[in-house]
Amino acid sequence: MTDFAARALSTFLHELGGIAIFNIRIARTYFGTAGNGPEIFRQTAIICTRSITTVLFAGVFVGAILVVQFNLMLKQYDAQMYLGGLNTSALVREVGPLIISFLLAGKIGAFTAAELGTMRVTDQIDAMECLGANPVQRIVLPRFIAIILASVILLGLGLVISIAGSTIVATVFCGINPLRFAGSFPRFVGVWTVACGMIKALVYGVIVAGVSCYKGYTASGGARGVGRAVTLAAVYTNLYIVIADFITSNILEFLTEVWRIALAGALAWLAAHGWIAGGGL
Amino acid sequence: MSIRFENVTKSFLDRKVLSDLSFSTRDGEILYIIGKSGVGKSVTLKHAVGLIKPDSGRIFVGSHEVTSLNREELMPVRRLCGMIFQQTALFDSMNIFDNIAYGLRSTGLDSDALAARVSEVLSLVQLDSGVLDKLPCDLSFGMQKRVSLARTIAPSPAYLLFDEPTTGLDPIITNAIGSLITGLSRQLGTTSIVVSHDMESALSTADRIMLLDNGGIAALGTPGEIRQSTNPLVMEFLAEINDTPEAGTSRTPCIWRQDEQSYREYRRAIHHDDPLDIEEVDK
Repeated sequence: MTDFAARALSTFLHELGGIAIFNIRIARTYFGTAGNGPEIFRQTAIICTRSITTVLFAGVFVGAILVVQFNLMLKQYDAQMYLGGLNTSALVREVGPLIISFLLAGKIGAFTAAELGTMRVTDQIDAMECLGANPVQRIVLPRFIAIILASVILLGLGLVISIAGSTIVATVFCGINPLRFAGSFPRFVGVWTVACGMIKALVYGVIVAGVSCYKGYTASGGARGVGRAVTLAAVYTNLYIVIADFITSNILEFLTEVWRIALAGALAWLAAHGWIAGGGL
Repeated sequence: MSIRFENVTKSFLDRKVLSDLSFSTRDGEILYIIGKSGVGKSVTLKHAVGLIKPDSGRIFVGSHEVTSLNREELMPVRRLCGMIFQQTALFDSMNIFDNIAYGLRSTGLDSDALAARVSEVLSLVQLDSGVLDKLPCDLSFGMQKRVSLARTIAPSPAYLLFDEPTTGLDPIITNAIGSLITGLSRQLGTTSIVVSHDMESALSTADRIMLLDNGGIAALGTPGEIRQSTNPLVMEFLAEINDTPEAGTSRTPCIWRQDEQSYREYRRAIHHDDPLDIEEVDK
């Protein structure tokens, strides 16, 4: 059992180290080369086009599920006036980035790992190197950045459609006035909430991009090797996202507290100096 | 200008593939590396362009010591070496024009010069310009091999490295590719290393043949010397040619492999079949 745990930990750390080194190589390539813009733009457009339908569908239903669940709980306490705010806060802060990154991991991450893996096992990457080109710059970098950009773009679109879906479900199935539903948004959702969601989407995007590019680029062993790379890319991505979610949630929670205290302090200072009326937050 | 291996050793996990391997090519020669599957023929070739790093030993391409160069420093050395891969390794998302032009784009050629060079190398590998807009998957394997050859020679490399260039091809296309290797190497004045398990092709086209076994050189010499060799492995390979059921009948005589026209005449005379048009077979 101890051996198994040690082996699992060793594999985990080995993979993590490999991904970190590969990502550093991508970053060095990005800062060391120019003219990658058009290909990054093209890849971002491809990823967004490929994933938008899935993200929008998932967004509508995730919003709907959350609103139904929250409504069941809030109804018991006669607190349905908070449904809109609570639902949107959960979507923006946690569920939206997580679901969208899982979707991207399954769809774009697996596709990228398969594409790069196939290029690796059919010697296309070696051929590129033999022609004096840098494969990381030509094929990995554009996909890497495109996945990160697409994560944020798709999160934005997914959240909008998700909130719209929630509002419709709350109105139709829960009998809540849409204006009342939307009226509680400001109480729960502020600029910082949206920023937290975007930061999470960015972090998960880096994970999806980094893991899938690494597993594809280092694939070996023919079709079987590509299959293994795709499977491992999906597994590791989801695992790292869950771990990253825990870590980022705690960090962002801490920063939220810092933000609140800083804001309260600033308001108190302004009130004390007569710049604003007293009363605090 | 030669490719030189000095005491190169390489292991994968606990399996030693190359053991103290030393050899050097001669200027402008065609060196065939022959051996059974898994003896390290392709590994040797990949070492030459720095795709694999040796555990010990040194490798020189011209005056450059490949083993001491980092990834960035290797790029100009790799441009000196054109490598043709076993599986063609064409970029499947690009059309044939972009595939051939890939190595030329970094040379600063304007679009007209680039298109002219692509047409030039396409004619060298005996393909017409109708294929330029097609994707690799639209072509037969034999045509893909030729495109791969065209892509490799487009930047005018000083060395040509062929990794099993005729694997998976029928005898007629094998013959055509063999002729192309010889013709292009002579025409372009390049030094060529051809990795193959086809002793018959080696005897007909090589200047020298090197037989690999157990990570080292079992035999090295001209085709004439190899034919006279008493090395058991060489004799085994030679016996494979002579023992084939087709020997002396449909099997292509070595000397004719260098000349498509002679081969076609031979087919007409012996088999009474229609002239075997290589292009037709390709399609």
